[in-house]
Amino acid sequence: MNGGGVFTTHQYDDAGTLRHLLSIEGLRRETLEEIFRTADSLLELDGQTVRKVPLLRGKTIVLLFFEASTRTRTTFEIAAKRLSADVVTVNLAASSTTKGESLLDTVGTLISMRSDMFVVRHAEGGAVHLIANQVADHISVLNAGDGCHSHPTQALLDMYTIRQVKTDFASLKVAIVGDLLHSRVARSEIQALQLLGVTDIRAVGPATLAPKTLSAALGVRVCHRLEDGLDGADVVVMLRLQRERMASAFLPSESEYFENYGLTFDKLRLTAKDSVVMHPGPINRGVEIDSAVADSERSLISRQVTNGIAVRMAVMALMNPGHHPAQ
Amino acid sequence: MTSNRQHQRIAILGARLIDAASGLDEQQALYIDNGLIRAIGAPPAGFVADLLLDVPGQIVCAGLVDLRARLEPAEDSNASVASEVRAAVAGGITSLACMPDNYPTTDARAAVHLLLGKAREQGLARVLPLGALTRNLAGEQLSEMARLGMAGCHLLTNGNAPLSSLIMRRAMEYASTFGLGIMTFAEDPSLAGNGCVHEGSTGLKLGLQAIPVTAEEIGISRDIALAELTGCKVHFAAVSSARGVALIADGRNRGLALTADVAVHHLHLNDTAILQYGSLCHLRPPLRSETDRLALIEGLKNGVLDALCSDHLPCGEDAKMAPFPASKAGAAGLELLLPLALQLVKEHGISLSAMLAAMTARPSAILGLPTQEIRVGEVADLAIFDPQRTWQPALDGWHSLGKNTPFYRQSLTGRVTHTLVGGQLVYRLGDQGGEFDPRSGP
Repeated sequence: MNGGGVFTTHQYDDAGTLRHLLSIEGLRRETLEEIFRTADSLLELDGQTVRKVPLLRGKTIVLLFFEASTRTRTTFEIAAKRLSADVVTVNLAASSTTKGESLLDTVGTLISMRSDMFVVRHAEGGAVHLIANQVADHISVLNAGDGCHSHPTQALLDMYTIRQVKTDFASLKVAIVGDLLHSRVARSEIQALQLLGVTDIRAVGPATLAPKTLSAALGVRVCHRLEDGLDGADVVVMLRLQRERMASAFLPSESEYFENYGLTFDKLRLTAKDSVVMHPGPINRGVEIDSAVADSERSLISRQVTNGIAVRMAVMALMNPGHHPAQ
Repeated sequence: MTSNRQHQRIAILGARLIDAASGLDEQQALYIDNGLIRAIGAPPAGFVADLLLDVPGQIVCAGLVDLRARLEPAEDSNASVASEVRAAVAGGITSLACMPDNYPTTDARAAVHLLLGKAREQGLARVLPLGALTRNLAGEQLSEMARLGMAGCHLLTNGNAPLSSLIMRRAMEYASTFGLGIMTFAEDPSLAGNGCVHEGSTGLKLGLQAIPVTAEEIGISRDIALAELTGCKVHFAAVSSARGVALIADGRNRGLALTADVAVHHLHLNDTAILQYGSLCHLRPPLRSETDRLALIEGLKNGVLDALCSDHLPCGEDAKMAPFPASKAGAAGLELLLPLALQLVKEHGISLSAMLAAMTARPSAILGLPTQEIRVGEVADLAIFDPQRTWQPALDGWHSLGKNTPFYRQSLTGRVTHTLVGGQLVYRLGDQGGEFDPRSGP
């Protein structure tokens, strides 16, 4: 018997091509560079719009979202269509999920409909790896977020965005602020930064959301005071705060959170002079970040959105779904 | 086989006899007659063996006693008493205690009789019932413990279903009235929450909901305090942490009647195994850090942890083929007890005799059974094993209907070749695989 939810699924095929994208962990640095270069060529010269290309014409990409999401799903849909692929969107929010039908049965039905790639988002960690383990050899699986575990494309687009405005990764000081404990974005981001040579990463938040044990587990410096975490930072990544954290006794209120961990111009003064602000979105104005800061020219938030399409196109194109030697 | 097997005469030659209870460890022949050990060394006058077991290089020990197994975990489960007692004797287990969270729940006399009836029908391993502590394991009303005790339950437990301090206190008081003990899975439920992994670096990296050691610490502290208050005998099931071992040692030093066991998988794996094996390593309590694992081994070595058990929970592929948090927790272990115990002997310098004691004499005592010794006049519940034999469950035979263990496809060293219950050969490892022969008589 093989267990389900194995977290170390191979992402490269025998020829060394990226077959699955499940987590940043396990990727080679060259792969990231290749993705960035491909994204470069997909953006128009002014870096503002994305061209349509026939790279995946004739391929069928299935968006399988077990966890509700409009933003990410739409981004993937747009990215797939700009590659000229045929896109099928299957929306199975957790509550309505096929009661009694197992995850693999749901996927199995779709496999038999000649799909080349699955883009999957699921509320449980390891679910997408499980699917990747089970699909036929020619199918690629792309993780659009599994539980609190991994969200590789978000990390890739954020790295790409940093690369546009900063020259050298190794010397960067990066602060990630907010609910790291429950954040798949944070985990993937930290792995990506480390893969690119960043050594000074600060995890900032109250002990309930940024426990000291993250230090050993993820290789970051945990700061419970925003001031300590922002000190001299070149990049500040604000994470979204979910409402339910108040309900489940992680935080007392949004307003107290904003007072202590919200990013304002005042707090920004502690960072490096040319620091930039990022947020994976959607942003909660007045909770993680002051509206004015989010809309200021220090903010790369809108670039992240544009880059999100280009980077996802680059990833899907590189994965060349439907063409993988049997493993 | 002869029709009147109860009177069968068996000679076991060429083996090393190890009796943990008496300290016996020597090459001796063993003679069995009428279900009992008739002689050790020289045959009794006029003894003609009906069955000769010539087993040079092998070891004979008292049949293993497994403190905890689930035989029929659910109504629709493939596994049943029938299949799992076969796995038990194939693993050299001659007596095993069956958890009440079985189907049906053993919270009343009738259910106990049903279970014992099924076991008797199979005629293989002896099955002992663990009674449910509360009705339907719901944690609200006490079960009819006196009746359960009369029906054969020496220990009662509420399994993984938590009990409030008040109910646990009442349960301990009532159980102790009738001389019964409680097996507790000590864990603070609110801290444990919906956790599925150990709260450590692996769990944090994977972003899975985690159970801190503190949950076990609080649970054990509470139950020790209640044991002290009520005077009830308490047995701690599946201790998983260094802190847990320390607390139990401390309680014992203060003179409390506490015993404890450790589950076999927890001695061989730590939380990093999840990365490779996924849900096959989804266990309850979770596999913890390497430091905890080593402390468990140390605890077993110095006797703070009295017994090693399989903590057997067979489940089908579907139950494990789900995202980790949604997969069923538990591993199959009846047939792994012996080879994995031998591995510990090799790797950690525990004496074979002490290891066997942890699987025979000590669990027997905890279950209120008379200690089986390899001694003239004793009932012949025995296991014969080849300590050198290598095998792989996936290739060389596996009898449980649950293949849910990371060891299923691994090479193991040490295998049971014969199992005798009540002086009758109920299991033999033949060239074609395991052969079972239900015994006649009780």
